[in-house]
Amino acid sequence: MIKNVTFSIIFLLAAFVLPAQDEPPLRIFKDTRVINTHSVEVLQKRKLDIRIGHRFGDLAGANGGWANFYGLENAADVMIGAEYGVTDRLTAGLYRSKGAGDLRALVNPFLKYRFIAQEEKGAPVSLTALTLGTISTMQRNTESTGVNSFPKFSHRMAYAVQVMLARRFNDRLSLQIIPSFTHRNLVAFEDTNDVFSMGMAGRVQLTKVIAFVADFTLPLNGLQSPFQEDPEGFEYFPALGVGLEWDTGGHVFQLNLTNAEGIMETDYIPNTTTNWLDGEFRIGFTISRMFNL
Amino acid sequence: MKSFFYTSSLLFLLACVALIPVSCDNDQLPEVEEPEFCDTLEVSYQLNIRPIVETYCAYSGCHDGSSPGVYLSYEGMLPNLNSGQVRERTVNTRDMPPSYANAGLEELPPAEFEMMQCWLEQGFPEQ
Repeated sequence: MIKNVTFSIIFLLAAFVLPAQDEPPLRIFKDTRVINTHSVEVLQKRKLDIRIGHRFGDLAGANGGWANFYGLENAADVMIGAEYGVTDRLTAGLYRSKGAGDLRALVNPFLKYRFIAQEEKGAPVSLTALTLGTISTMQRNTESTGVNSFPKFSHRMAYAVQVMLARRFNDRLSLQIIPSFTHRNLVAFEDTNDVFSMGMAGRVQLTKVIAFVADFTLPLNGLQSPFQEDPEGFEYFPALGVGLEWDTGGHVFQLNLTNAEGIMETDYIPNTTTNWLDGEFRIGFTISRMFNL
Repeated sequence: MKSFFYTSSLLFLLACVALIPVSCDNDQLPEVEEPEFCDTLEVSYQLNIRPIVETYCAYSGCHDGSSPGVYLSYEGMLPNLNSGQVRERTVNTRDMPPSYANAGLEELPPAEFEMMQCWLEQGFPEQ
């Protein structure tokens, strides 16, 4: 509890006390998301970003193929919401997502703060932190022996904290690493409340408007880790996404393929049970529209 | 208008930060207990489970290809059986069948639920 309060205070102080930069920061990624992960980018002050994300069903494998038109007739997860640039460093967002894990019907507020921005003649990297809270509004089932029995209200909640460190190496290549911590207040028998993970993301500019993007999130402990075998044979897999990004001026359109079903960090990091090698990957897209307020 | 959005976002920010320490628990659900008759009764897909699945899962608009998991055959169920999804959603979380299913199909009756529980515990044999 004390650690949480301390972290909150530091975050708030940093948000308003750190000075603005003289030099405009380099754009390391075109968007505030890579595919599954956030990028180091934050919104400019008083920009409002309305965003819709969608993950279809399995494209191939036993649950994909012709039966459901290669996943296009299913929705693994859907996200809709907005984020706003409170300052040039701080973005606040609120999203509703369907959810793809044990917790469903999710409300996800987040704060994202850029501590360091890469500059031509300044800092060599950008550093951004993200805190995300998730609250499930799914119906409580008193018969359940699962997570949705919700013995306490706090059991509806999960949290994720991420630090993103990124560098734009040249006009074409940007790379990012993302150490993360995800906490769920209630988990199934023998599951782990705290999951540490390491993510990697990259962007390669292919043409003036099209870029290739990819990200990978590897859970490091608990049942989610590939280094540990689940006694009940419930298999988890690292989340891997690849995609193409079109910058059409006013908005960014992205088409991607990923094995992750959930969209939010508290969802896809501890809950990815689908495997690329079994054809269990899906088409996803994100539409984002920016407004000046 | 601008100051409205700015003030709103600051208030939202404060609410978010306040939420973080509200509650942080490290709770784990207890192990699910199996019915006693699981030790003596052999449950198979063809004999016992198929009628349950056809009635409560693989009907038109649900696991007949309209939603993830095509449960029209044993082979169709196998990937989600192996991944543990069927156990998780049907026995642990009990949110399958879902509350929005057709009338009378919103949940497995106790006898069918226990049969499913035993079948999963016995390694979901086909025959």
